[in-house]
Amino acid sequence: MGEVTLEAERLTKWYGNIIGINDVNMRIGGGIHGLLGVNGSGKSTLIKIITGMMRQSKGSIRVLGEEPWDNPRLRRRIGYCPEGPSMYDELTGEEFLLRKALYHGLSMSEALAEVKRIAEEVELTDFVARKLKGYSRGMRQRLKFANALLLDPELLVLDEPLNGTDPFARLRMMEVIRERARGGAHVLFSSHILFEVEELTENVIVLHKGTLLAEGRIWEIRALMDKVPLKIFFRTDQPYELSEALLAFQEVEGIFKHPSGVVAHVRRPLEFYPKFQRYILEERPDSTRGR
Amino acid sequence: MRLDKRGYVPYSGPRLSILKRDLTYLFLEVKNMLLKKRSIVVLVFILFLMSFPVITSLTIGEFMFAGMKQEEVNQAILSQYVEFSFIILFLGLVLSAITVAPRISEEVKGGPLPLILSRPITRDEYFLLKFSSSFLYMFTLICVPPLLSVLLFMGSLPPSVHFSALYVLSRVLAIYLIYAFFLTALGLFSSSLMGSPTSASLFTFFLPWITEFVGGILRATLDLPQKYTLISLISGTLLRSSSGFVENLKGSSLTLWHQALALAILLPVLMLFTAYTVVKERQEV
Repeated sequence: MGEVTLEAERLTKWYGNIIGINDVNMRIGGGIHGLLGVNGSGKSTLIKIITGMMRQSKGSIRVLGEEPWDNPRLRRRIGYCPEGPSMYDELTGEEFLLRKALYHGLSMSEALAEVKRIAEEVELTDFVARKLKGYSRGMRQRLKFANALLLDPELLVLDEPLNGTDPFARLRMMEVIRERARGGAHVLFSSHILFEVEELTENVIVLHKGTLLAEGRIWEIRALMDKVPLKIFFRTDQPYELSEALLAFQEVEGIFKHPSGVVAHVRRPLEFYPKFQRYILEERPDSTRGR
Repeated sequence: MRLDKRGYVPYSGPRLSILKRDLTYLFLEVKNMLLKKRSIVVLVFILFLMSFPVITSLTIGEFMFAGMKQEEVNQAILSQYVEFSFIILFLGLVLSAITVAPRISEEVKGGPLPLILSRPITRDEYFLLKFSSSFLYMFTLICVPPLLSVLLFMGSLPPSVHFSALYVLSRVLAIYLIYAFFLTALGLFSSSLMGSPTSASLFTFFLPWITEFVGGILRATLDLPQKYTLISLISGTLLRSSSGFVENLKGSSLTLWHQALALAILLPVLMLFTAYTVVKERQEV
């Protein structure tokens, strides 16, 4: 591994009695890294610690070689796109972006030029003059993304950046992330959708219930996933018929009844999904919805 | 703008001086406060507030024309102010609850705090900006209207009255300075402790009344004298940081005056320190 972007040792965060991150050890280098995990897995907690928004309860962390907590010198080098949608609705998009540029010490004319450049990059030029209260969720997301890109930070930390965006915006944002990475920036982004992560990178960190479940290349993670049986819940009003059909698949190891459907224990889920999809489309197009 | 070979803006540290940067940001913070819908309520408040110094100025004239001595005039005017300041206190609390109390509370728990703190500022700077912009805002709102109205009114008074008006004005400004400091500290104190703007506003408005009520009960229960007790000074100062100050100012004991002044400054300082500690250590962003 070349340059170390992030190094965490026994990183732990408690919220009272609830654990956010538990004894996480990680060391990641340059390029794009995807932080994968279901909701509540600890992705946002880890990101908040990385960006210095939150202080760890135990352990140590260094980002670009520096301690992140309340460190404005490091914040100059990080572009952060948080998850929550709230902003000052009275401001226009341009005013919102200008504030960050001004706080970085640019003069007004430089700041205006920088805001214009970034707005063009994320295709927000037509909207930046509008007040934020008129922004949709997707537009707000793009504006926060633009805010993170301002002044070309060395490290981009993006917490679920593609949430709520339309397919065109999503493609453009993915392209910008790739361009930035090609330009030498490091990118760490979180998602709970494997497909999104796969589109951008092969370097994945998987978190589950606050612990680091896996770290490595995406095909290694996929292979690991195939080894572990997966519980899949199927919502259906015909549980007996569906159970019978599921047992015909060799990947299904067991079926359990659930008040609103059935739960199947599936080995090699990545082989099972396309087979089951075919079964639904060909045999039972209108009866079952799996989740 | 000159771009580097990657096509990015070359950037190496601040180009504006720190002072200029902070003043720019202070201006933007005050502008942010003015952009809020609640500013309309504040403007109505200013217009209302402006009527009181006019009444006081009228009183100056009345006393002067009645041929009273200088000292008597000053005491009489100050007495008038004790009455007016109760109304101003009430309105000041409303003002603080509307404008200062939501300043931090609206930014936490799903608010824009992570975006603000992602800028290259420390939490100390963040709190200092919140305090300085709120204090500037409150002081301007509270002090400028009396200043303007008294100065405007002075023009229509005979020169012999001018000294009296200036004397009153300087007293009023000193009191309002402390008062603005108290209201800012109270607003930020509530704002840092409460998770929502509404609860912060309610807390700001009701805390002094609750303190006064509890103080009153303690005084009655413990059979303490109205004056010369710490409790009466604390509750009196908290509720009547302006009027209580004036009342003590015209009272007989210099020690009491000093105690009142010290508490009028000490209490807001303690509230600010608490607010600062909460902001500095806040983890829920």
